Parts: sequence; C-alpha cells; structure tokens
Amino acid sequence: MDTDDCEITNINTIKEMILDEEKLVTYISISKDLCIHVNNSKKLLWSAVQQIREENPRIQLNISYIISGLCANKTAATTLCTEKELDELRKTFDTIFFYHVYSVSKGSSGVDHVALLLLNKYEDYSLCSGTIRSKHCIKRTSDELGNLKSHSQEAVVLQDKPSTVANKKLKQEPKETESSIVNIKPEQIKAVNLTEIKPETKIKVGVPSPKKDSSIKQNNQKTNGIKPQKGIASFFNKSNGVQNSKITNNTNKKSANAVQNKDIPNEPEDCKVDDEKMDIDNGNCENGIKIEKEVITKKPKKEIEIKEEKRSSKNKPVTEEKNKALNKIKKTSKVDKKRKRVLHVSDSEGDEDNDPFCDTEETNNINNESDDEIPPTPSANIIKITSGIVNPKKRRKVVDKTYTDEDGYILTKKEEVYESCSETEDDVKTVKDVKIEKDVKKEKDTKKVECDVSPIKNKKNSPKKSKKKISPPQKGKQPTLNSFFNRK
Amino acid sequence: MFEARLLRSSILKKVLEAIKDLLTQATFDCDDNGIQLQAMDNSHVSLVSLTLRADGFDKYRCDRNISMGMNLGSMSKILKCAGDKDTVTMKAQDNADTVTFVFESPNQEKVSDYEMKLMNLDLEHLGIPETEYSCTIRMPSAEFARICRDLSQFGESMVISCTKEGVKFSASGDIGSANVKLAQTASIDKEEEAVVIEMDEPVTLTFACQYLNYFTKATSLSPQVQLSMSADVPLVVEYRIPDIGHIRYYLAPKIEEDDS
Repeated sequence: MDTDDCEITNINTIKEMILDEEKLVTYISISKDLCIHVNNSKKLLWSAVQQIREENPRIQLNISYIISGLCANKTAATTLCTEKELDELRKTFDTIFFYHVYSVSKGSSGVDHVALLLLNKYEDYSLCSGTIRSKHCIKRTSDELGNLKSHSQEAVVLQDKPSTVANKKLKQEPKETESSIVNIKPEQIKAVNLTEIKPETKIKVGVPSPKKDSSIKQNNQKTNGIKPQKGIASFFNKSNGVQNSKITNNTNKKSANAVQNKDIPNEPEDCKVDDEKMDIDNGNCENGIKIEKEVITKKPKKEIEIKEEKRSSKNKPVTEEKNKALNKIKKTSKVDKKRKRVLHVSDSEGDEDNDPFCDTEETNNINNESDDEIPPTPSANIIKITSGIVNPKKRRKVVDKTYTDEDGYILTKKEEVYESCSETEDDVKTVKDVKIEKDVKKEKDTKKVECDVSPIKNKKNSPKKSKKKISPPQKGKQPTLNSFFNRK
Repeated sequence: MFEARLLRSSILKKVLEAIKDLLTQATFDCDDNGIQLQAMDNSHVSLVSLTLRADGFDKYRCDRNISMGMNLGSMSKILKCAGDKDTVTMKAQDNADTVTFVFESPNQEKVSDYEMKLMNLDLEHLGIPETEYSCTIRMPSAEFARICRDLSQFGESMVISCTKEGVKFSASGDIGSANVKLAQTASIDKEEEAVVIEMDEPVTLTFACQYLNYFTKATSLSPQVQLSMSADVPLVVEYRIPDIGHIRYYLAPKIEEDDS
C-alpha cells in the first residue's frame, strides 16, 4: 500500500512538474529529484505521460525517446528521437538494446535536444554525465540553451505571421535538427548557429550580478515553490557562464541582417564536424552522434569586448573553462555569503592593522576578490570583530540585520557590532531600550512573515515528519502535572 | 512468559500512532488484567494512560507481572511492518531483555517476526485520584480534532468554557480570535455523532493547543471523545478503544498571571 501511494505521489509530482511548472523533465532528473532508481523513474515518467494523455488529451506534450541498439553495419548507436520518429528509427536497428522515454515537456516539439544535456546538472555540480557524452561535446551555457528554446518555441508561434529571413531559418532548424540527430551536417550547424546570433534574441545584456546565483540555486532546488514562467524557458535561469557574455556581445555588435549573412560563408572554414566516439552508459560504441564545435569560441578576440574576457580564452580546453566557471560561481556565492556578514572598517581610527584579532583571512580574500565586480556594501562607521579583546574605545551594540536567505525569505538576526563611543552612557541605554523593544517587535513581525510564508514550504516538506521535542511550558503560565498529582 | 495476541494489528498500530508523538519511551506494565501504560511527556505537562484489558485480546497469557520498557519510535517502526489485517502477537520471556512481535497474514501464508530490545526505564508514576468532574462533554472525536486544529491557528492557548448553554472553545492571537460553540444535541439519532454535556458547575479552563493537537492523534481509535473538566484540575481527554480498553490524556491547565 505504501509503495502504491509513493508511486501515485511521485506520478503526481511529475505531472505537476510537466504541466504546472512547465519543466523539461528527463528520467535522470526525476530520479535525482525524487531519489528513486533510474528504472523506476523511467516507469513513472511513462505512467505520468499516459495519465496526462488520458486526463487531458488536448495538452501537447513534447516527448523524446532514447533508443540504443545495433545498426545494420554492426555498429552500436544511441540516439534521441521524437515520438514520431521512434517507429522509423526502430526499424533501422537490427537489434534494439533498449528504448524508453528520455524527456517530457509541455508544448510543441520544437526543442533543441542539446538542451537536454543541461538537465544533468544540479546547482554547481554535474550529476551523472548522462547517456550522451563525448570529449568534444560543447557545453552550452544556460543562456544559449534558453535562447535556443525560446526561439524554437517562438518559431512555432510565429508560423502564421509573415516571416523574415531569420524566422524562416528558425523554422527550418527544429525540423532539421530533429531529423538528423545521428549526423549533423555543417549546413545545419550554420543554421543552428544563426539562432545564437540573432539580434531578435531577447537576451539580457551585461554581466549578471552575483546575487543572481542565489536565484539560480533557488530555481534549481527541489522545492516546488518556483514561479512558473513562460514555456520551457522557465527551466533555464540566469547564469554566470562566460560564453553567455560572448554571445550577448556578439548579438549586440552584429547587425540584424547584413552582417550575419555575410558571415555565413566564412563559417564552414571555422566549423568542423568530427566523428567522435561516444560513451554510453551501457558501454562504448564506435559511432556516435556527430557534434559541432562552437564557432563562436573560434572567432577572433577583437570581435569580443567583454569584461569577463580575461577569464576565458579560446585555446583553453573545455575542462578548464568548466572549472573556472564553477570556481567563479563558488567564489561569488562565497562572496555573497561573506558580504552579508562583513562590514566596512571605519576610517576614523586605524586600529585594524594593529588589532590582532581582526580576521585577516577575510580581508585578504576580500582583497583578492576585489577584481570581481562586487557592488559596494553600504559603508558604516562600525567594525565587526569576530573574537578577542575589544578596543576599549569601541562600544558593543546589538543591531538587527535583515537579509534575504537563499529561499527568498527575509530574515532578521541580531548581530553584535562595535561602534565608536560618541554618546553618553545614559543616552546609549535609553537608545538600547528603545531598540530592544523594536527588535522584539521586528522579530515578531519577521516570525509572522515566516509563518505566513512558510506554510507552502511546510506543505511541500510534509512527507518528512520529524519528531519534535515537546517544548517546556512557556512564559511560566503552564504548570506541570506534578503540581496536581503526587508520585505513587 | 508473556504472550498477547490481537486479531487486528491495526488497533495496536493506531495506539502507537496516538502516543509516539508525545512519548519517546514508556513502560508497558503487563499483568493478569492486561497491559497498562502510564507516562508523562518530556515537559511533564501532559500524561498518557493506556489500558488494554486482557479480555480484549484473542489470546492473553501473563505468568508473571512484567514491565517492558520500550522505545516507542522503534516499536512504531516495527508495527508499520504489519498489515492492517494481520494478527499481531507480542511475546516476552520472564526477565528477558527483548520482546518479539509476530505478524501473521490472514491466510497465514506470511509470518514475520521482529525482535526489539527492551529498555530499563525509571520513569516516575503519578497517582491519579479518582475525581468527579464538574463537566463532562462527549462529542464526535473528529469534530474535536477539527476544532483543535482550527483554533490552534489563531493562538497558542485554547479556552474551553462549559456552561448551561453548551461548550465553547475559544482562541485568540495576533491575527484575531476564534470561537466555536457546541450545544447539546437535541435528538440523538446516532450516539457517536451526538454532543452530550453533563454539567454540575460551569468551568472555564485554558489549555495549550499544542498538546491538544497531540491528543487528537487518537481520533482514529474511537468515533467519540470524552472531555472531563473541573476547576484547577487537569483536563482528561478519553478515547475508548472498542472492546479492549481506553487511552486517556491528562493536560494541566494554564494559570492566568495576576496583573497585580
């Protein structure tokens, strides 16, 4: 009974992810989110699809299948395909090892399958590399993938509208990419690349601020409190990828029509299509999916004028870029966390150098990270001392600090802060009394806010029932039973 | 040797669900009359008294009085392994340090046995005198659970006031106040759905909603609940377990602070 209930709840969760949150879910992402075996996630995904079609046959679902088997030329192959192409592909295999649903998303089938690779990532960590992997796989940034998806979706919407040259190419791309998954031709690669360069792209220009990292983490977390956005683009959030900025700047610089068309003939010289060996979960196979190399990365540096150009170079291998991106994300996240706590040193007294208990590591880290574009924190004539002897000229004071945590909740914490003594003790005491009262009120307000907001979170987390220790009597009003009954 | 067999393991499962949130560990005192349990929660504000009569068991044997200290969380985990229709048998040897639970499926094709380590608990037992209460309220247990749940959203404390007009449950807090009045049912078609109030003196007491919500975990055991109140005396919330016994919760009332 319990297993059936678990299955039902998991299926409902999957349906919510697909229909309500409009996510692109794969069997791998489901197994990670629901902490179930991959085999179970495949079954659940298939069951969810069937249920959706039974309950709401009008809803369009974009289902991709993965099929692996032996081809006629005795080579193993693993491919992704849409639902329509599944039967045809099955006929091309002499022996089929397996085939099952790979991904499901709501909407029409205009999605670039490369985007599915991004689903194998959770926050900063890459999960299992997935079924499709290769040395020369190009890691698309989330902005790229978001653009690809948004354009593919726009292409479907704009079918009835008068189409420009760019739009026509957009329309052709989804069909071409879907039909030729095994062999991607250079021409198709050009067409795909065009989408990345379109000026019509609704790409946000500029370096994303570090705070957006937390928003990425929020959206990538398991909580279902994610606000649904339009289409599949809701799955992809703001990112810190270096290549994003390159693309954005390229889009800004290139004109709408002429420049792009002129660059097209030059691209095949730069673009190479290599046959690469594919590593599959079930084993190695000789022939795999031909993968393109990013044309953008090979373009001359002159065309790219970005602030983050220093961090990435074209000749660096993908792994180093990955590490740098990850390190950058980690740094910014650390800085975010640190920035919330660390306060500016007052300029009035130069005791910081002489203060042996000042945390030099933090200051060094801050200095090292000064190269990063970190918005300045508001200056205050206060010093935070982590431990040790207090400067006798400074006065310790408890101050309320409000900040937003990763989940978006406004939290207020009391922190000890040292201020220069510019007031008399009496005034300070009265101020303290007033502030303590305010603190208590603020705490109540914040607690209320948290209580008001948290029901959603508590509901989502309700399956995990944690045993709580019963709190002792509050406020001295609650007597114990010992005052009523005696021991035997 | 001690051996007690219940045809329906669901009763024991529900009993554990009703007490495991309040008590982490307790002692089951077994004698010829049956199984009894009395334990207070960690804060000593509430007390649980469980009685399972020997005649309610399908088979009951207790050669010597035995006290088995058990971790209720572990016991609950073991009982979750039983199906609702399974037969459960508790076995323990004299002076043993383990207790065995045997679950048998209705067709007896599946037999599971689980052994759990016992604990030496030195818990204080309180002497509960027999009291004649000023007010006794019998009402549907689901209704009581609903009232406790709803009013706990408004405040930490609930005021139960029993008067001639009926019983009134009140709570107030930062967001507002809530009041639920129940009058005695005029025509009693189904005894389980009726509200019966027996009052000698009006009583108004304040209790912590948190504990009342813990007590309502026993709602599944009985369709009816009985509340007994007297001034400055702990509230008694009693759920009768059909054919086998009862579970009683005692809750100390809150005392108003004197403003003077």
